Amino acid sequence: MKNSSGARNLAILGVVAVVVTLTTTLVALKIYHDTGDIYLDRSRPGYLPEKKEEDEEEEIFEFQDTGVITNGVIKEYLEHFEKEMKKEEYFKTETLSGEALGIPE
Amino acid sequence: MYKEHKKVFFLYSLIVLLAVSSPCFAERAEEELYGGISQYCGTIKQTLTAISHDDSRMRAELGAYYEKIANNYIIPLNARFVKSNQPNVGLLELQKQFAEEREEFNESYIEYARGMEVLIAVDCKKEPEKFYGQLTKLREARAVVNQESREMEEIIEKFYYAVEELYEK
Repeated sequence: MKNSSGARNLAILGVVAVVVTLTTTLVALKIYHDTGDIYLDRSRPGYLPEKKEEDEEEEIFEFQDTGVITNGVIKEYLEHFEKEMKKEEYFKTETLSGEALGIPE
Repeated sequence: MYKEHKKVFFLYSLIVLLAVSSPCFAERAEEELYGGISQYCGTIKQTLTAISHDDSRMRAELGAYYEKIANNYIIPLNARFVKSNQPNVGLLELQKQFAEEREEFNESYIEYARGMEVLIAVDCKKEPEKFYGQLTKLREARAVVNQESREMEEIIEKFYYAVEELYEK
């Protein structure tokens, strides 16, 4: 008698645990979507850099926030900064033009 | 005199004809537009899905870029100036503008991405008018994101030139 009620309670606990997990997961996903984080998250699969991009050696310049500021320091800083700066246009409006989408406008 | 009247009458008739028929032309153009959307709905949706994916990668790339510029260049330089008791008001102001503009860029991108989701969800075969209306809104949203990204780049350039000025002094 004791064993069967114990087993039953365990089963109920299992079901409740699954229901609670599903509910909290759904709530978290809804918040993730509604706040817009889903559109900003760079860790989503497909948006991470590809392996070949990671393997390429990249000189990472990290400017220290302590130390003397000399002309030499600023010069090196500017050289690296200039290499980093992007000079291309993003989110061009022509991408959604009628021609691009195949719409006879 | 008769010839003059004839000319005036002809001109008047032409004007009235154009005025009456122009809504018809507009309506025909709209029919062609919606017909085209309905006909090529599948292809249009595929293109939009591809654009949406490209946009997300572009956003991820830009996000990493802005973070790198902020964490490796703007913030540490200003911190170094402050720690050396030489805070540069101009550079600090640009750092503040950078952070504010980045927030605006994120918000405008979220709005654009939401709009894209809504657009892709519309059945353009059955509801081409609704689809086109949403597409028009999305184009405006994309123009805003484009503008925000340009403004971000302007601030980054301003910061670079402001530092260059210090070096040249």
